[in-house]
Amino acid sequence: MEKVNFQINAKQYSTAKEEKPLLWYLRDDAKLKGTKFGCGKGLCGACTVKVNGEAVRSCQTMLSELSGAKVETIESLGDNHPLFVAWKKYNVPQCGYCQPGQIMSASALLDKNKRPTSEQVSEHMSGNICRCGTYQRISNAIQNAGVNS
Amino acid sequence: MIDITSVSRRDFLKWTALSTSGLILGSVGCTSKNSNITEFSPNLFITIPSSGKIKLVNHRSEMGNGVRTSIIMLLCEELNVSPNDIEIVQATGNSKYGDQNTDGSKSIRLNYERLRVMAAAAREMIETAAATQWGTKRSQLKSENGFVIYNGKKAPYGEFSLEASKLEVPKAPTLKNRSEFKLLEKKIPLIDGHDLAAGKAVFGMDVEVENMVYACLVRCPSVGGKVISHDDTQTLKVAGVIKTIQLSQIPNPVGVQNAIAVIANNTWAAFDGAEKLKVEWDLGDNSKNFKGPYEDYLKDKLKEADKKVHSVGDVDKNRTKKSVKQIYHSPFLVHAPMEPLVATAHVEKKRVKLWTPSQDPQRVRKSVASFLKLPLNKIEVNVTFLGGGFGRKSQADFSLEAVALSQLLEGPVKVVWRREDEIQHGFYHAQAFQEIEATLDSKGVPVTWEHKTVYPTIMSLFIPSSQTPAKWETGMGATSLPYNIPNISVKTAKVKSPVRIGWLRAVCNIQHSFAINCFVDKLARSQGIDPVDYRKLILGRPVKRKTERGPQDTARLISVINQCKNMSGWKDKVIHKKKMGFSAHNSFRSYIAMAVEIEGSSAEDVTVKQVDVVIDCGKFVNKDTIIAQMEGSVVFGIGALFYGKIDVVDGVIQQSNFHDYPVLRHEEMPIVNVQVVISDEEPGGVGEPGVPVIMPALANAITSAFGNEISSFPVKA
Repeated sequence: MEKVNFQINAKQYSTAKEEKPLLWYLRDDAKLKGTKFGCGKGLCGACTVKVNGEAVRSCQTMLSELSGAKVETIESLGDNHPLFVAWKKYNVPQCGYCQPGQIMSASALLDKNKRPTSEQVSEHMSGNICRCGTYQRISNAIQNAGVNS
Repeated sequence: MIDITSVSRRDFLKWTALSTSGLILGSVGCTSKNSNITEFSPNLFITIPSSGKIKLVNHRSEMGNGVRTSIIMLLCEELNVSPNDIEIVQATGNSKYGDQNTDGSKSIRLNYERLRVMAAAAREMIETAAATQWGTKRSQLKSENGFVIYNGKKAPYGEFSLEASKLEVPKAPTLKNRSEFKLLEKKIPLIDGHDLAAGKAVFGMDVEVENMVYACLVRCPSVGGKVISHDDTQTLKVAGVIKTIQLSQIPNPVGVQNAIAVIANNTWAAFDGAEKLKVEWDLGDNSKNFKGPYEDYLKDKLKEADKKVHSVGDVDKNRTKKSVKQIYHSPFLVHAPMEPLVATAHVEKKRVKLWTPSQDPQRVRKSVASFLKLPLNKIEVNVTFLGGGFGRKSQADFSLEAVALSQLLEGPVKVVWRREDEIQHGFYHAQAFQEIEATLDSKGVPVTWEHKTVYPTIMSLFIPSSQTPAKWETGMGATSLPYNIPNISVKTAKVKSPVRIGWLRAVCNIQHSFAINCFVDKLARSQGIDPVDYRKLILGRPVKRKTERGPQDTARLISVINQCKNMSGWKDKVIHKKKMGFSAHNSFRSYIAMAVEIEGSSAEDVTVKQVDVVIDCGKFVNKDTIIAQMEGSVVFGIGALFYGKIDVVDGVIQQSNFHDYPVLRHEEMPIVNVQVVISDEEPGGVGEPGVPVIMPALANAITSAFGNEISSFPVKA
């Protein structure tokens, strides 16, 4: 079978070029379990990672599309990343399951705009569901992280 | 070096921890065989080794309720150690810990006192041991951050482990009073906060066991239906699929459904194989007996609501001519925790290991023991982090599926539910129809209150013949009406259901508080009285009464209503024509009032701008967790009122994922302000009681703003 080569968190990976979602490659093959499965249909954002700097739903991103791509997952962020610091300051997580996806979405937003308005945060983050309802804290944390990064 | 044989009192010691939960067994002073570390462990929750970190047990399930932090705070407060300096040990399911069923908003109610007593006793023993060693009295030294301090000397607790383990456990240690609290009633960040944010916490979904296979199940669309035939030709062509295997029903209350399991060597192959599986089903009696929408069946049952379950005074003799009446409808709801259901099991010859995001590991343990006919002590139930629960993960079905498959396959199996499986094979919050009729006196105060409430009972899960709500169900709001009304009757009817009914965050308080709080607003409107003032009018003088689910003190409800009115600037906002709604409810021993401000021009385009919350939950543990739970309840409740709806047609669920079962999203988040009342009353719950308050408050705001009365939800569907 044809191979596809790409990077995950700056490490080179090579695997069969198949119609398998990146999500399950990350979780079951690369053993990077910070990226979560929530809906499998690109509706909830729990599986958000960055591909070439853009936030994508890894459950809808096939391995076959990843030739030469740079994938970044929650594991790529250092423990003292401004988003983690802000997440701690606002004590954001409840159950925590959606949070890695929220943070990767937030990271993609802050890459482009360090001072997003609350409307810009809302719009950008509305693809990421948090059933526990941590949205208010997420908003505050993103704006705080933007200021401090 | 300390030798285990020198520990004189390492025998198991029984003592009562002044608790309602009975005996706590603990070993005092034991040494593991392969080390020279003595462990002082006066009870099951606390271990102070002679060197290394203090180990504290959390026995409740962490699902966003912040309970791991709260339980550890209770222990650390009285132990005088920092939550950052200890190691948390997550308990397996075992009745020796007392109640572990993390449901019913009772983790703090059950543990507030007993864990503090255990921790205070341990600290006193360490202090006594230190005092003896240093030739002084316990009263002369102090303990702080895991150290004993006296006269310029400072030593970690562990140095006194051996001596402390020789002491009697004090039966009535002195607990701190509020002014001495370093942790309790403060805002303490979650101990697991960083691990959760960074994706390092291990959820049920993240469990991996050596040599395990993955299973995705195609379950019968209706409860109790059977497989007629299946074709797995295409399934077996999927790379990674190993085989398909039929799984038989395990009856309620476990409720495993007839299914075909696709077994694979990775999750995606199992999912893909399941998509490609063709199954012909016999949908069974539930489908035949409930033709068409279940809603039609249930609506008719309201007319049959003549079974009186609660009565005060005499409604029939005291009706006035001034009557107000309304019918209310609330749909089936499903939990939709962000982590779909999942469990990993390894059934060995005479031993079972299970890793499950369970709210109720003891129930799982008992169910597994009964299913496999093994003694309880052969079943190990490891509790992972739960990616949300909301009552769904109190059920044992997903854990038992993994056990049953592991038994059939003779190896470890991880069963992973897709979102569609979770939405369509739930234990649903019951659909309900209600009618409330009140007659009023000349001042507009109700003289009679007649409440008919009709919905399938959760008890039908345990006793198939159960057809009317249990007392504890009507006790969630309907028979615990806080208003001072002299003549009350509550009636129900017999109702069956084609789907399983389960607990969902706040349970029957959802429908009852919705109807009651909307109806109180309707009465207020009929009298031209402000809804907040009207609530106070009909609450009248404060009363303390016994209800089905505990004591009720309406002074506390009146107080949160007054505080919420002030906090929200209600009067001023009403004068300035802001679109406002109000509600107040007592459940799970807590009292909550909410004021909601909305924007928009109709029910369809309404958005929630701000919610002001006042909660009196008695004595509490982590202030920030209470605030977070109120924020979360507001989000959960708005989502349900706007969009929540599960349709059952021919016994089959019609929704499948977040596109047709929407929940609240970020852009719809209001500003939420929370005020927590400082109180000396016994602890109340916080995880659930906010939900039944936000829903009618929002409905009342919409009714009041746009004129069309909201008596049914979802309002945006």
